[in-house]
Amino acid sequence: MSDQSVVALKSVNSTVSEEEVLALKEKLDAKKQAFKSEVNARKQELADKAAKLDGELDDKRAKLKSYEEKKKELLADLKASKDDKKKEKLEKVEEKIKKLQKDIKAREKNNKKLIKENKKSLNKELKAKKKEFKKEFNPENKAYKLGVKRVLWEKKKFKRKFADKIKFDKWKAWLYLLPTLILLAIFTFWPLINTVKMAFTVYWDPDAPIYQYDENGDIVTDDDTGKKVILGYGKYKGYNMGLDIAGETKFQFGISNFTEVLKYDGFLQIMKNTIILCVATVPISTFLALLIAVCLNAIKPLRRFLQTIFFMPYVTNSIAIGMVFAAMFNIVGVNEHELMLSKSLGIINNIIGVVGLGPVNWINQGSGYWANIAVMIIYIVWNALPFKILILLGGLQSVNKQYYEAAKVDATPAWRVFTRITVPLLSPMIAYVVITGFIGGFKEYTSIIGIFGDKMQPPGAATGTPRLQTMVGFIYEALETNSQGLASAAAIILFLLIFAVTLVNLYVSKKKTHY
Amino acid sequence: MKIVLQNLTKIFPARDKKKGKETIAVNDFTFTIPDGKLVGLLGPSGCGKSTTLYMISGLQVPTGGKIFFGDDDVTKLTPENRGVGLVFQNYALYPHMTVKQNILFPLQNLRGPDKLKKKEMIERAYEAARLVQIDELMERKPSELSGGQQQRVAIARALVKMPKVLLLDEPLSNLDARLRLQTREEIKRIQKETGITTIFVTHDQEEAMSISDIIVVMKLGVVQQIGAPQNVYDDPTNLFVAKFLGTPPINVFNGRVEDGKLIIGDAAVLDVPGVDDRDVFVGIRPEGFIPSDEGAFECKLSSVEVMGRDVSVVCTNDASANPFVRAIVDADYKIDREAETVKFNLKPHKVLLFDSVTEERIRFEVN
Repeated sequence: MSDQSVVALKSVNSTVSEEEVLALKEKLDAKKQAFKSEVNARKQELADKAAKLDGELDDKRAKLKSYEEKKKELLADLKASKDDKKKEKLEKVEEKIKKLQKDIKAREKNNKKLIKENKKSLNKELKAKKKEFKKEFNPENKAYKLGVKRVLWEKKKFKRKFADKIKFDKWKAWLYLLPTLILLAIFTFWPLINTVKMAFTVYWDPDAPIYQYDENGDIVTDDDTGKKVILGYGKYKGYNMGLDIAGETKFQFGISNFTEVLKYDGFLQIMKNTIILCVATVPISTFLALLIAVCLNAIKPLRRFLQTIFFMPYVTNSIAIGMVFAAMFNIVGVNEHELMLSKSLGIINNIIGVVGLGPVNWINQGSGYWANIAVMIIYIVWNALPFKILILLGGLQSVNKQYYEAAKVDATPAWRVFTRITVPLLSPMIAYVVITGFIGGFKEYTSIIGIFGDKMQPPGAATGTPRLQTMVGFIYEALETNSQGLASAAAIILFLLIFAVTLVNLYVSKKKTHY
Repeated sequence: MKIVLQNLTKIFPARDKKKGKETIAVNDFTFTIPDGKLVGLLGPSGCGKSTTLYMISGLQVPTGGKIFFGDDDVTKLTPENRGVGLVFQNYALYPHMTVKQNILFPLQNLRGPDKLKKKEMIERAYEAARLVQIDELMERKPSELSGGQQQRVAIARALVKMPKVLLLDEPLSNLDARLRLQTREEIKRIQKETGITTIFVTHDQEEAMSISDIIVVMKLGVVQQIGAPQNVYDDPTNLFVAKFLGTPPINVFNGRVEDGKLIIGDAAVLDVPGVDDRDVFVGIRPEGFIPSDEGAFECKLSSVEVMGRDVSVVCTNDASANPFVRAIVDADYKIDREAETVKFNLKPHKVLLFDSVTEERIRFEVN
């Protein structure tokens, strides 16, 4: 890099390339290295000088030592035989020793002085050199640093240019998503979070009585008074929005909402209803829908017309359909006597009467649980058919006709075509229909209202938990009595149930489905 | 087993009865397919060749005419009772079954006296698989196979029940050029080994000519010509057949016959004894030209393409019905690339005359 570019680097408006800056750095590094090696050389020179002086001194010391040894020898000789000559010799040696000692002392002193002086002059010299070096080096170094800064700045500027764009794009994406996100947040996320929160919120009611229970789980009553036996007062109760709004009540974390749901008298009845209505209807409706779809697919004339007919229940209100079903299964007359007199047994009883079956009290006062469930299953299956037929028919129509032609040429019996070709090729649709069917089935509620009304049982049935109560019904009931905590806990239990069943469904369909 | 088609006709009714016209897919097709032969039904799309195949399989019911397998009238028989093996254009392999299950499928359908034990079924499946050389792929799904392998599975599935007739609907159309060459040899080999009467449909004349014992050329539901590939190529009955067969295609010129001489443009190019004076279409096969300085037939030279063994001379002629005339000559003839014109003598048996109105063949004596 030339000096001009260094100058250029110093000027504010210049732009520098990264290569230029790197070249400058290389040059500066080389200079630094040269300076350091020069300094080291000078220091080494001084050290050598000191070593030389020390070496001379050591020589003298060695000589002194040899003289002292001679003196010792001579002394020993003199003891043995007193000889004048020897005495003279000894004196001479002693004189020499004295001289040497003096010399060494002087040299030691001199050497120290010399080294000190030399060091001083070297330091002075190095200082001056350093000053000189800095004078030359620093501006270049500054320019280099400036260059680096500028390059970095330019890089940053470049990045920022793009970063702005990326940031803007991200921001725009969120802007487009905003309406949906707001709606989702208000109507989905917040209620979800709130449900979980309410499910785990309880308060301490000091006035709540604690009853005694027998081994059957029933409350023990006093034989004399007929009143419930009270053991004491005070217990945790679930979240109550009314109390929350009124204030004063202190809410805290607790799981008594869940224990209350699980301990609830009718809980087993509710689960039984929910599971029967779901597990019985999904396979039946799926199988029927499959048969109807295959039949519809096989015929050409009237297909569109029949498709419309089969789809009608889907667009009709389920309460309205429920009322029609209720009328079909209804018997006019409330007791057996009236029943015998009445000609109006309902259309279903009239139809099964043709083949000699009986009139059955389906839904009226005094009807049995399984008769009620049978009506519910028929109704739910009928109601679930259209959607499933639609999906399966769509799937069937997308199956390549050549599979059927190939099967025909190979003389495949119709049942085998159905089981070995149609069902496997439709398996993704069947899996979809079954999974959504189970999810919907566990949430059965309106269908029961449609037939039995909001009492959720035939008239005259026992009080307490309604006979056909389901989980969703229970949740609604809890909400009506301001027991939001209980309702939330029940909703979470239902969710976990659906979640588990769906996982099983997915696991099975993964193994059995051909995509 | 020989197959007899007697006045076979298929008419598809018009979809819109007021406006549309009914489509005659196959018109009065009469032909006897000898036992153990490989027959290619050939024609452009919409010529009724696939319809014919499906009528033989029973998937489509003929409007008129009869079909015999041997001496049995099978016209009224449904496909499952005909005992044919059919290979579809896109193979129609069941995607959810392995190769083995696919091949076993027709065997498992057998009922009554034909019913097989499980061991026999598997033996026969492997036998069929070995025939088409896929016995190492038996546990794979069709989606894990290449196009050629799928095609072989489809053939194995059609062969495993030992059909009396094997029908192939455009079996090579989904394969790439290399695989197509290889597979058509394979089909020929399998057909020879099994000796099953085989009918296959194609629109690729090269494919049909290369492996068929007999080809049937069809056009708009009407059979144009039936015969051994070489005979049909050398001796077409009309202009359509002549144009349809052969790559590169035949060169067609407007010409006339005067005094027993064929005249193209102004030049008398060939003696055609025994033909009345009239306007004709002249078809000359690309290999029917011999370059010669004294040649009677002169064309303007456009380019010369070297193909190694042969040289393709592309030229123009005012009387040509096509933009270019293509002649394939032996590389020994040296063609002057710089020359403006090139002169040819014609091989008489490669020159075909057709009536200018009916496009029917006019035969003349070749010395």
